[in-house]
Amino acid sequence: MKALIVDDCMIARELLAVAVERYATIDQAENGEQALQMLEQALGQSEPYDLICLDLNMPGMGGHETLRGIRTLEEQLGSDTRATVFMITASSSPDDMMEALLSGSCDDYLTKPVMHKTLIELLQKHNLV
Amino acid sequence: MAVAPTTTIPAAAKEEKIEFKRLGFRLELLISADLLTCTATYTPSGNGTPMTQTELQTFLTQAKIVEGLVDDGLAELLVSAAEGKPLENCIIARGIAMVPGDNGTIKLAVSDSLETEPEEQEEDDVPDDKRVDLRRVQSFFNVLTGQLIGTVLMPGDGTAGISVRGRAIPAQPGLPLELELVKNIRLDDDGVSLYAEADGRLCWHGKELSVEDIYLIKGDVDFKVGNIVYSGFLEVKGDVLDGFTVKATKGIKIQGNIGVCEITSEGDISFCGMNGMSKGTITCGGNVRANFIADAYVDAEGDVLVETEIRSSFVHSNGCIKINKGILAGGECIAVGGIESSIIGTKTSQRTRLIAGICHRDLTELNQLFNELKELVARFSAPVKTIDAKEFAALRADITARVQEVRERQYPARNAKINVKKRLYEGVTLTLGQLTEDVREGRDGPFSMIENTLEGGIRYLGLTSLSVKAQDIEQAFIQQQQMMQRSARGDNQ
Repeated sequence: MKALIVDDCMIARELLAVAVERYATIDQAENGEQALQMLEQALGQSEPYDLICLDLNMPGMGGHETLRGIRTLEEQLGSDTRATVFMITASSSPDDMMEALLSGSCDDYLTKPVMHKTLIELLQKHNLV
Repeated sequence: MAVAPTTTIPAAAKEEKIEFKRLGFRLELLISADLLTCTATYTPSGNGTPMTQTELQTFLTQAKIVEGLVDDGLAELLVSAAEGKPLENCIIARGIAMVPGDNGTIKLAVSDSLETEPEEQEEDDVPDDKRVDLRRVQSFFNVLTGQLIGTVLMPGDGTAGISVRGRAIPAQPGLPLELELVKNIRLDDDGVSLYAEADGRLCWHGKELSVEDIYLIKGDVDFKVGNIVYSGFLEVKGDVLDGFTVKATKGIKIQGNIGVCEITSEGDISFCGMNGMSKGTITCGGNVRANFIADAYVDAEGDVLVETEIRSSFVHSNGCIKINKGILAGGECIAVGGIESSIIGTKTSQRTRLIAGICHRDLTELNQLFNELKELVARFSAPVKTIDAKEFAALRADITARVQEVRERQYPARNAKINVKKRLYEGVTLTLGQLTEDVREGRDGPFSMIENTLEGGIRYLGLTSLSVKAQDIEQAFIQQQQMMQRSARGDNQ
């Protein structure tokens, strides 16, 4: 499995990476723009990401915008696989998270601070492990 | 020295004078009352021959002066005689004084607790050996239950002396210890070891020995009393003045006020008020009770219960923080069990940070772990790596595991709830569990605030006691929503 973790907070990325790296090869991006570049490159090499953990609140390109970009890139580059995207959100903004879930572009969500146990349960739920 | 006295004699009551006289001189030997010295006074007279050495030996034999002859004194005497000069009070024999036995006593096995306390470091050029800390005046010993206090030393026999006449002067034995064990002290079966049966301070007045577990200071803690380190309960009737350290294991009750002080106890601490001037600290293993706290650092394992106000202080509690009638403003308050105050913040929007439902030690630990992680990633990401990938992965996994462990800690007292009785002003930052929000608009009380896990943000509720836990209230909302959802689905079907 190949996973991309997108968060402007390095600590949050590292903490997530440790939980996921048992099951996946990890790439990290510190903002939405960088994440889309990495996704484009991966799709170009026919090595798409299976999982993308995406922070909702990031400076610059936010989580929603990045998510729309991800889905657009997947469509444009004709990827057969669609990455499972977990939106990571602070509990103070569930409306934003619900919006993404309802639109169907996001597969699930995690609330900060992300507990490893919860993350692994989600991976199992989406048949990623 | 080979001395074999055959009999012993009591010390003479008064000095003894022996006179030898013939034509030409008069010799007077004076033996002291304690029989330890013999002095000679030589007076030449008339036309006779001076005293010879043989004559002197004969006189000494006649006077029974046999022990401790002083060669120099005898030589001086003979020279004076030969020269026809008088000589007065020349010591010619010196006995060995009896050494009385030591009185019975207690050899203490405890030491001054202040000796183990680090001295305050002041920024000046005075070398340590020339600095005197006038606050270090404690004059008692702390003991703990079961601790060996000391050992009873039996009176000594002393050492016999020898008189100038070669007789033994009997040794005077020491006086036995008169000891009365009054309170909290046990004499061991060996008859000499004394053990404490309670924590407290060792008191030894006359023949009475006790361990007192309550220490009452009738006035202030000042330069007369000094810093206090006490194994027991301490009560101070007055104030604790600036710069003093007060530590008592079982609890501290100060009827007056506290200045820039360090107050520490494993039990409860109560006082009237404290103005710590941003330096004073209270470290408490139990509950803290006070009328007011200003500019101080408070760390309590239990509740912090204040009557009128907490201002510009850093208060950390593993229980709850409650201000009964007044105001909580400035500084930072972190309480696992929730926070309650009549007024929170000020009209001038004084920066005030309140965190409820989180243990401050966990926050500190997480910050340290995050810093460790940052540093680790920086080392690994540096152009010249000081760590290889394998080591990096192992260390990162270790830090992450520790972060998870901290986050999974459970606290029975956990209550992410803040109560406002009268008014919440803007300028206050609230953290309720995982939620942090700045108060941008004031709000009149009474109300309770908890984290709204369903819709985000803060849930404002009618005021309920801190004994009603935030998680229980929120659970009720979650159940209500689930019921509504089930009901809606039922309607649709």
